[in-house]
Amino acid sequence: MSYAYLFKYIIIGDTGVGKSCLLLQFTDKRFQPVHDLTIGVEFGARMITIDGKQIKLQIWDTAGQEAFRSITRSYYRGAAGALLVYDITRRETFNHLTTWLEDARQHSNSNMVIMLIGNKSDLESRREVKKEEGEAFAREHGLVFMETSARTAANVEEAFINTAKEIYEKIQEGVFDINNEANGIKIGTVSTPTNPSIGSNLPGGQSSNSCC
Amino acid sequence: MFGRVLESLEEIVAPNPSLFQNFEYNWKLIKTFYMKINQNDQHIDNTNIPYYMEQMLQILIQEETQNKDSAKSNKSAECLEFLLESKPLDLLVDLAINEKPIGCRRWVLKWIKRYLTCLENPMIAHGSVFKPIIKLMTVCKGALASPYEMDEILFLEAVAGLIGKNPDVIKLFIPSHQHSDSTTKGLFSTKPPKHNTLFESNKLEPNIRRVSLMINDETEESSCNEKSASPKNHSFPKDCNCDDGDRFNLLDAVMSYIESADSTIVVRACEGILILVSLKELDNHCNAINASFTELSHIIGEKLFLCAESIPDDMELSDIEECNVTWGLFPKDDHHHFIGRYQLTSFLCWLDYADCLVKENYLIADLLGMLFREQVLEKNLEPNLLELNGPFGLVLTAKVIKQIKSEELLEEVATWLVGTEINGSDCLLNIIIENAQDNSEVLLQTLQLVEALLENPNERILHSMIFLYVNSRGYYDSREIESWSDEEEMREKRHGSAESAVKSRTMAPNNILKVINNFLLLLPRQLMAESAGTCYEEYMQDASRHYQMWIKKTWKFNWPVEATSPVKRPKSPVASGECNDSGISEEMDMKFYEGPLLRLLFNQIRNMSNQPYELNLASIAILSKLALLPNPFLHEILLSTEIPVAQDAATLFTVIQALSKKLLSEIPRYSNFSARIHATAKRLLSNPPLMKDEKDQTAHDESEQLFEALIVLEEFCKELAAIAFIKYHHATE
Ligand SMILES: Nc1nc2c(ncn2[C@@H]2O[C@H](COP(=O)(O)OP(=O)(O)O)[C@@H](O)[C@H]2O)c(=O)[nH]1
Ligand SMILES: [Mg+2]
Repeated sequence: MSYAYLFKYIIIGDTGVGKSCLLLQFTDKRFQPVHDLTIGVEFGARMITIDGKQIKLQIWDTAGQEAFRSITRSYYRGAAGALLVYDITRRETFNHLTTWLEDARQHSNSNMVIMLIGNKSDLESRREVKKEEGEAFAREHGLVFMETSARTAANVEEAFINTAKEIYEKIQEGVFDINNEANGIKIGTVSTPTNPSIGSNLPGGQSSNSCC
Repeated sequence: MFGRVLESLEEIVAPNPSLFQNFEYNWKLIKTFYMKINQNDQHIDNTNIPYYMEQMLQILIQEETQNKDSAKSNKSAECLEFLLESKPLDLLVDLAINEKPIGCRRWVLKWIKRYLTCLENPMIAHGSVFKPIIKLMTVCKGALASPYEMDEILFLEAVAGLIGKNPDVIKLFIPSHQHSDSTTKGLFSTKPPKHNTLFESNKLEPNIRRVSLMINDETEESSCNEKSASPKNHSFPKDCNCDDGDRFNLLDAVMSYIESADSTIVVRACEGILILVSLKELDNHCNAINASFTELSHIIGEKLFLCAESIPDDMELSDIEECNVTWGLFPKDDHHHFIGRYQLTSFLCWLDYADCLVKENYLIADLLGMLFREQVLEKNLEPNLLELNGPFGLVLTAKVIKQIKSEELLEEVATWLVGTEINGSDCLLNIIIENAQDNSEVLLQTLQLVEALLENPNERILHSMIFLYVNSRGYYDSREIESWSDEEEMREKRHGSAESAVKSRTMAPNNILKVINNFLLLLPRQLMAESAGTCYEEYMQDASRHYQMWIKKTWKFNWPVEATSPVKRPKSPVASGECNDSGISEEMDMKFYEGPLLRLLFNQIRNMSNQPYELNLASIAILSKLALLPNPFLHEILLSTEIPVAQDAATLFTVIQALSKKLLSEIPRYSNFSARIHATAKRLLSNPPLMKDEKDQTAHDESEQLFEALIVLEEFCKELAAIAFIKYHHATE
């Protein structure tokens, strides 16, 4: 199927916060409450529409070794967006956000869009992290924030799609260099400019200078 | 089948058995089956064993969860105790190794993997756990064809992951360190989990021997945190008494899977390796570890070499440029096929992986870095660059440079390109650049290589390519001291005083408005296409963003803040020692040489009206990047329009002045030149730009290039003005 853009995402956060479940919910619309589902799922893909344009999201899941920075670091390369997930029923997963964020900022391309997700909102009775705290953290670090439930599917679509929207806006603003696939964005098979070396190389040429 | 029905019946009939009873019961069923095993030759999938095993695992998880949730007092871990005391893992692993019943190995691998990952504390340091694990590892050999390859690597990765989280147990996986403490008879021992009140009871004491290999571990058990935090490692005996043949077996086992044909398995193996080499507790001086790391480096180095060799040199160059991969995220649904795709992507994936590896461990950084330089750069790329296939070699080299993110590998590239001598001017890089001067076949690709080097800047490379030549400030006519503008004198005066808040006088001259106007008013009004181009403000936004980025990329470089001439004249009181590195040389009459790169670029600009448009774009793209670098000498030679220029020397401004003069004398000769300027601007600045159709180009119309050059120059001037202004602004902030 043809698409206008392809965005690469990654999902990061402590083990057990529900990353794999979120991905499964988004791509397959189902919830699977098993213990180790991580193996097998490596990435999911789904087509969405923004601004009348078909956009393919390719989402990568860390296959269970997210505790190791040496591994997650290499996954940041080439991603246009990241969902940073914590579990609202486990405070420590919230406390670790700073480390995750620092690592992500340091090892990704500087334009990577990061969305903060407080997952398991269905478990209201076991909540340890208030929604306001998530909001405050997001505000402080300039992230978009949302609480989701991979179980009930609440806000799951929105989380993925809003991230895509933000990337899309950045492309429109010319902040993202779409000619450099290493940024996690690929221009689709339809309507690829046949002569990309011209114009984009002209100084400041039409918004996407390939300078960086 | 019948058996299972019976059991579930039993479950119903029996009065709610405790977790432990249930656990023991399932284990008994497995053992019972085992007794009879020689009588039947069933496949495990036709037995209930997987079911019993799963029950046991679920019970263990449940027990752990209950203990976590419940109050401290009524904790019990009978099932886990049973696992440690009665050693069911021994039996399971024996079954697995002997493949009895058939197919058993897969289930046991899966089971242990899940036991290790699903439980929060699987007691890896306990002999009853790690001993069978080590035994099971012996059947995991990637080199042998095995139907269980995937389960094997997942099991190994789980073990690696667990070690990653409990680095102290690493020595249990190195044979000679397991036994090295002769005072303890027990080979296999454990350390009670921290924070688990369960194991504070005396009950388990007989089973728990201290980790015998720890130095001074008599007193506390909680010190392991500090241990892993401290850089010097305590977990190894000072003198490593490994034998020559000793190895870090776990790493060896994981490594053996990177040759697998299944890419998922390869990625898992790569992850396992990354986990193990990044352990801070590893002692590179341990012979066993050293041997395994050395082999790892050689395996990856060899892979890089073979992959690089296999890339067909008749590939489309644009396919190389556009290819982007990372080792772990390699989409399998990418249907973009082209010649050499497989070979190229394999090479780039391994390069990306090597790039990650070298950041984790200095021993590997040294070894693999050297192999990368020798095998890939010197043995593969260099012959292509110099003899065999210039354009291909250049494009691939540029790709390699762009792919590299680690300083370690970039340093190797620097050593290759510019050597280790600080002032060696006849290095490979300069040969390449000089070679492009009169060889139009490789000109564009050489410029692309230079651009890649700028994108990923390295101080040594920049020095040999540029600063070696401009740091002497030979472009500056210091004899013209009398004719310095007032502003410049001001600069000299202020320089010494502390009152100035300006970060760099060179980059923030008082005559900035003059400078900007010099650029903006270079072309006479009648030759400008103004309306069509990008506006000055847009260039400012771009320049501002890019300048921030350059400052970030180069802040570590040891660059001076001000450009000053090597002091010889007694007249000047200023001696800013940091500025020049030659110091001695001051043969005033020696002709200034701007170095191969600036010479090439200046020549390109001079000849802009005879060059194809793409080439002009490539040249100005590089020049504008150079103009953005926060280096005072480069700033002067590219952006300071008002400095006195030494005789026979050129600055960017003198070069574009000459070009402008040439255009001014030639363009008005065409009768309809005004209309043509506007038409050309409209064509080039539309998005995407329209290239002249080959057909309507009547026998290579040279005047077209003239008009194209004019448009490029006009835009270039606006950009230079914007850059000068942004740098001024930043230096005065
Ligand atoms: N109640 C609830 N449970 C969830 C939710 N998302 C995930 N889980 C559970 O949390 C556990 C970990 O989920 P998983 O996706 O494997 O986490 P990962 O390690 O971050 O990939 C599983 O047992 C899931 O069933 C959710 O939104 N609500
Ligand atoms: Mg997961």
